[in-house]
Amino acid sequence: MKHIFIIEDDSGILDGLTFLLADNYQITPIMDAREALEKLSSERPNLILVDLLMPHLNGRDFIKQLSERQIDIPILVMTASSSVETQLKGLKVAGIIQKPFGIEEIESRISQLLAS
Amino acid sequence: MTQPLNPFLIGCGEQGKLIAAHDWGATPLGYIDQWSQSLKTSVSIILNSHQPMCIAWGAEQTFIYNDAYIPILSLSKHPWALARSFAEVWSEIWYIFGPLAEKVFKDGEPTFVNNVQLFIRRNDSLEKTYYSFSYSPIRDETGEVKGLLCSCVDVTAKLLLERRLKKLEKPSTKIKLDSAKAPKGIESGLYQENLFSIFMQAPIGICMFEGPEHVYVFANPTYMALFGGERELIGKSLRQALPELKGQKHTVSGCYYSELLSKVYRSGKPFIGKESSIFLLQADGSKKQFYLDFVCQPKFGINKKIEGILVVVIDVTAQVLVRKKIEEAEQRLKMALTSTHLGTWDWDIRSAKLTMDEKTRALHGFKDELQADSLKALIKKIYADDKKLFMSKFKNTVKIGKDFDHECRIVSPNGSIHWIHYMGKVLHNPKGKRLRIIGTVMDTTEKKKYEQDLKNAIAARDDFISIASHELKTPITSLKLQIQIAKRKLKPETHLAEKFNHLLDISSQQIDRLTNLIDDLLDIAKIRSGKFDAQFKPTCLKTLNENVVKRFLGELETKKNIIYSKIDSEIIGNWDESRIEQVLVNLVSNAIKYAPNKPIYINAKVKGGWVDYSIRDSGPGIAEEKQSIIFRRFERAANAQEIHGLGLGLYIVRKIVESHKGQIYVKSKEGKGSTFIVKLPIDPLLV
Repeated sequence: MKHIFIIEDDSGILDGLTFLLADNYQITPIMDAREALEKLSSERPNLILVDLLMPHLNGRDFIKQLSERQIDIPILVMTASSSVETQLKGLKVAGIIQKPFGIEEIESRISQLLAS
Repeated sequence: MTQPLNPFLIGCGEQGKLIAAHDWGATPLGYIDQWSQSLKTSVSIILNSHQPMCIAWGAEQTFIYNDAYIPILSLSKHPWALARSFAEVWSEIWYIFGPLAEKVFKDGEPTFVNNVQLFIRRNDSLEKTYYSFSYSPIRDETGEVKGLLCSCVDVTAKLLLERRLKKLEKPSTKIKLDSAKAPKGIESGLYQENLFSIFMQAPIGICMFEGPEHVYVFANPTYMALFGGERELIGKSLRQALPELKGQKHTVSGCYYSELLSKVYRSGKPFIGKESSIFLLQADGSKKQFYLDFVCQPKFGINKKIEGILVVVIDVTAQVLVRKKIEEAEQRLKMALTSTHLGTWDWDIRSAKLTMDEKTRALHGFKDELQADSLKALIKKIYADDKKLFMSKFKNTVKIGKDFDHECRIVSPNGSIHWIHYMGKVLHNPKGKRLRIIGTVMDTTEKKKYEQDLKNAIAARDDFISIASHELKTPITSLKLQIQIAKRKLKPETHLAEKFNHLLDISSQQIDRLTNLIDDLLDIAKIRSGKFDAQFKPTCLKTLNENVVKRFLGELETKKNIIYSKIDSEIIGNWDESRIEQVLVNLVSNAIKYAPNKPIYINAKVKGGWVDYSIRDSGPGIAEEKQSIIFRRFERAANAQEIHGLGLGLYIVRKIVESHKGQIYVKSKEGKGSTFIVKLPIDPLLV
């Protein structure tokens, strides 16, 4: 079973995604990106879903730290901002999904990313 | 028989012809062909002069004269005098001319005599005349005096006039002029006639009053035109003639005008008025204001008793009005400068002297003009970090003559910092040399503060857009997920499953509506804050259109629409893909919304660097008067009451199209559907 980290500070979204995806994937729900970094020292998920605007450590800085630590895991960014391309300039991400998204949309994106 | 004219006599008037025709062989000068060159030249000179001139030539002093000399000789001597001896021609006054002529011939000494009284025989009688004349020697090539050149001016008239004017200055001179038209009372004689003529023709107003009631006895045409108009003045007192003067005061002296004349009459002292305002009755019955310079001069009789008053008036209204206009303009400029808080300055390029007005000095904290007379003094006031740029910009203005426009900080004496905006214009002389820079200064400290406040407000709004975007969309994302998951997990066999399913569908639709509204509002906020930047990249229209249509498949099925797309393959434009997608989504969704159960036709083709994308529905159509306003904010087609939304969609569409330098418009007829046409340049950056 493929393993996915979901990093999202909004519990409604985090719980919803976990409930939706738990049937088909192994899900680690994380509310604080700093905790995700800690876990990454011992775990290697197949995919990371990450929100951008979060307290403590935002999605952008989280992705930056991954590349500094040379951790190469596909990342799907979930964002409510439309001008996200400029914010993520120079960073390696596998995809971007605009909030609000439907369950079919997120499922298809995840399965696509995990298949490739 | 007429002889051909000797060349030196050509064009030499009546005398030239007479000389040519004269039998010179019988005279001491001999035949004309044998005349010496100096004689010929001398004759030619006098004949070509318009001044009375004559020549006496040779030992016999043979007399030759020009046309202008004829009146001096008069008919009694002309043409008899030609070729006679000088002494014979002027025998009656030879006692004067003789010795002078001898001086010229013997000693070669020229003579000039001024205002000599001569009795000249004219028309068989002796006449008293005055002449100024000069005698000059004419020498030939050897230097020997061969002739005498006499040049004359009749100064009789001039001399008489001078003497008469001298007499006029004496107060005892009796001037009595009874009527302007018929100077009957005027003493006979040239003097009075001349004086009268001078008065009548004078371009200044002259009048004369007599007696204590100031009765007009004379007024020249200039005076009549100014004061009388059509009125008769002569014989009337000032009070009767100019009733409008009643109550009018001479402002400087505070005297009524009638009283003013009485004062002169009583005291015998003249009165001079400068630019005195006076209202005079016009022919049309109106009163007109004049400004007059005038002199009231008492007129004395033989026994030195005052008989009347001579008044000389010059109308200076035009000059005064022009000056007043200039003064007013200056005043207005001053007021304008005061009310706009502008100060002025003037820098003389040659002397490097700076002149500031009071306002400019006050702005810079200069106490007096001496402190503020150089650029150095000004630069001292400028904030240390800003000095260098100010100086380089100022030098550049002086060097190339470009307008000076610079804003920098100065330190006021109390240590506070002020922003000052300096503007200056270079003035040139007609040859293009730069002479001065004149300009204005304005304290822009407040303006700067507002600008900063505005920047902060814009930054705050931008923050709001991004925060609002996140804060609004996060709960919606959560809600959407929950509802969709609930719907999926709802077990069909459950009691009330069908009812719940329906409720969840409605909730889902409401979420989508809310999402669209939030997107629209955020787009509007971006448009308003100017953050609506397009990110251009190669975009395939056909693919984009297919994706959009796919997105609506569910809706198309429920609303029973079919979309027929016909798009030239491989239309690739340099566009913002997500924004153009937004345009297509909006137009397709409108077509489905307004025209359910009907086919929709999408068409796109390229023509000369532009793409025409059209989408045609068979809906209710849009009334003509509504067609242009549906692209404005909060507008919707009026016959679409049942359709929800804020009416922002087409406004945003228009803004997106315009950000791509394109156009959008609609063709529609009520009841016959609508066609929306988007014209987009293939590459907006090239337009």
